[in-house]
Amino acid sequence: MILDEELHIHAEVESNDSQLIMMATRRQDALSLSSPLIAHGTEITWLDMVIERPVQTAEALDTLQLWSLPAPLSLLAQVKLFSPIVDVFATSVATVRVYRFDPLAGRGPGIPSVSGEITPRGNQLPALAAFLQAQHPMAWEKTVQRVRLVAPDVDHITVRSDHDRRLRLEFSESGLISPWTDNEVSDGTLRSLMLFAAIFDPRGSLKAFEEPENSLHPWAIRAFVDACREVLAEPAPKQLAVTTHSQALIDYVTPEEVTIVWRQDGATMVRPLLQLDPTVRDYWAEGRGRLSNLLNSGLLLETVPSSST
Amino acid sequence: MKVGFIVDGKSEFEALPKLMPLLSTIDQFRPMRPVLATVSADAPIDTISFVVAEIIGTLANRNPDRVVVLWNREQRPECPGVLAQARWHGISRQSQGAHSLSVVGKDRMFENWLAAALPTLSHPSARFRLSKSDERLIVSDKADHTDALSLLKRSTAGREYDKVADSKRILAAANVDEIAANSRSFRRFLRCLGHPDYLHQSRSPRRP
Repeated sequence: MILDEELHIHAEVESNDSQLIMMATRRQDALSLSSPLIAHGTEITWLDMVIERPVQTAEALDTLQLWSLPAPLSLLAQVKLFSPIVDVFATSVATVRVYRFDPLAGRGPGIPSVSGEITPRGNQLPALAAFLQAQHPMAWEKTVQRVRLVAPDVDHITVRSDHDRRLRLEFSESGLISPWTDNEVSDGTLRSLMLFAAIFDPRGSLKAFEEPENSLHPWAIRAFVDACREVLAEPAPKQLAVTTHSQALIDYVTPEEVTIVWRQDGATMVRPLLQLDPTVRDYWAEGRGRLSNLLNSGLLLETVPSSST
Repeated sequence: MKVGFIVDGKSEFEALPKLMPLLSTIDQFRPMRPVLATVSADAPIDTISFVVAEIIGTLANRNPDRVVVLWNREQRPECPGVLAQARWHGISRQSQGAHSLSVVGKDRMFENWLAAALPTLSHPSARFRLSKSDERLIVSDKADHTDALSLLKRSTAGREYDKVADSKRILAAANVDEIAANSRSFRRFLRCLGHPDYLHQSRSPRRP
């Protein structure tokens, strides 16, 4: 009988330096997952996974063997067959969503589906809208409210079924007889709908948004950050990562929330801003300047495209 | 003396650190890496002052003893001294005199300082070939008055002149005394840093 088991997942964060990024533990029937890094929204390159084999008895600890598996994600499906905690971990990974929305993709018709999942580029936006309307009306209401912050004239957004049963979006404005179609509204309106619908979609434990600022007014960016904070305050654990070059976005977050990603000697480096320069905390808190100014000035070489890093 | 530098171009941002080891004769000189003020060099003085004052606030985080602002004169008609003084007043007003501040106008641009270095590079490479006629446009003390960018482009062999990479190459092999001999605005820069040869004046090059 298997008593306890633990799964430790390590990543090579710096050369020759392996760091624990996730630990899963099973004590009899209780499963728990913890991660010191992912909690801070750090993006990880998966390099190595070490699995302690299930321990049969306390004495077996003496003969514990470690397995080292290259390219672990491709093997997770096999590994999970024998380990319930790997099963839990694999399920968690499966709920990671990465979005790099393109308004052009969102303008297309949606195909009715049970899952109502939007694609990373934004295809199937009408299907997600229909899903939220039917299954999570509160989330849909929040989504439309936030879109109104960006496009105040939008009264309501509906999903209609075309003659060929494909889904189309319509944006109604008070005072207008006929609604705008998804081909007629602005990129900003459509993009904000994508972002807010994806944010308030209750599915997915970790969501990453790539450069949400594109084609959005700076005020809309702030509404997006507010929505992120609202979702993070909900009881269900969620992690959100946003990549950006936007000064408006950077000035609307705290130094603790910023992680810098840069290239060095051909490698992608990732580090929390306050680890790179702890004095930024006081600089920002004492009102000596805006965070965007600091990151834009080149004072921290890692934050600018410099050949000197 | 810990000195912070605020520059107006990517070439200066990348290449100026190559010059710093050559300034070791300056007493207690502790240069910081330059920071970049992203505003057009052609912007009104008040606009530039506002942006630079914000950057000075950012630099203050590292406690410099002095801040040196390097700005291109470009094609502005005012004489370099008058322009630098107007900029100094504007920035001082915006930053409320928070730091010891110097404003140096590159006359007319960073490339003039690079051209001033060309005749006597310590490691002359096949990359730069200076003709005798172009050399006469630089020595003695004429580099500030020449079309430096065009000169650099026609003096570069092989691939086209690269403003960032080639400026780093030039300053890494440059001779400070020779740049100073050929550029008055560079001597003004040395004077602001407290270079022993230019403590009292920067109008004329130091006599050998």
